[in-house]
Amino acid sequence: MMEDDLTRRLRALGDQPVPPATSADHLTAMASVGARPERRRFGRVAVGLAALTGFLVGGSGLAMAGALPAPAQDAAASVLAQVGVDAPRSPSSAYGQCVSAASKAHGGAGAEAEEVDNSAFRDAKAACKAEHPKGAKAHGPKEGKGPQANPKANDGDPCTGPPPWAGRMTSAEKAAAKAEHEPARAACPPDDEEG
Amino acid sequence: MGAGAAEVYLRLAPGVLGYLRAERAPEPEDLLGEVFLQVARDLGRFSGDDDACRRWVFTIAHHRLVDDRRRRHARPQRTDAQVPDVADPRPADEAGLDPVLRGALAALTPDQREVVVLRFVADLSLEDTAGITGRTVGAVKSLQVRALDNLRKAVSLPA
Repeated sequence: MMEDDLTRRLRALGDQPVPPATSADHLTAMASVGARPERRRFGRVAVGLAALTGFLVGGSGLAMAGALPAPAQDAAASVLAQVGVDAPRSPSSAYGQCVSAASKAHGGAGAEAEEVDNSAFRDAKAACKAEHPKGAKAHGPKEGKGPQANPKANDGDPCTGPPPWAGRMTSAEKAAAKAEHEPARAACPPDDEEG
Repeated sequence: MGAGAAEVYLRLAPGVLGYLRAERAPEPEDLLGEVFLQVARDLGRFSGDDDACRRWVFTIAHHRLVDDRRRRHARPQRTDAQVPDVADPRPADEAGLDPVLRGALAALTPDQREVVVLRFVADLSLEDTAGITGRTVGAVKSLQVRALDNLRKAVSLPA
């Protein structure tokens, strides 16, 4: 299709040159924008290094405090030992090493174990257990529970702990216990509500 | 800015300026500068041939023009100057740029003007014009036919 005069005139509107002064201003402004590096507060590498540093410092601190889980604590202690830093091992690991050392000291292991001085080995093992209570953290009595939870209970002091008539008993037994212990409890100082 | 942005400016700035003037942007040269600042910033992320580059630059120009109109509409400037009864289609710095045709373009509806300017002043295809304006190709064709009819009538009248 031949282009008519109207469309030719329309296209001519888009062919008018930009005034030289305006063009120079624009190109200068574009150069300053293009030369400015893209502003990024923290690069990916910097974030990665910061995370790695935090992980190493935090992990080392926890390892030095012996606060890591047993496998991680043992692994960290092994790694730190390579660089001359003495970090504690987990209690279970220390117990195992102690028993292993005792076994070697008392005649080795395997088929030769039959020949081991069993009583001496048992003593050494018991000593290891006393020195490194296995799983002391994980299996120790929890606070607030168990028979030792309330130190005031069953200590013979009539002024502390639950009264003897507390618990399951018949009313006759309860009255008898109350009659027996009431005089001793009457001499006790009043309860400290806030203590 | 690499040599690429300068090349794009030298190749496309006249067309973008013509587009902005034909669309009656109040300050077309300032807007042209804003368009190419964005081009310089984003050129590193652009990939495509010359046609894609033309389409990309005119898309930026279209968005800038729409933003400028919204901004001016939201914050109209007050003036004490006398307001003429008839719009002057020939700003002082554009005198001599086919005043009859510019007057005829000013008389079109905004939709017709947008389509005919993108098609012929910006030299974009029907598909690209439809993409930029958010219309179908059929709608662009229809608006183009009506716009050209109106322009022919207007420019054929004695000035």
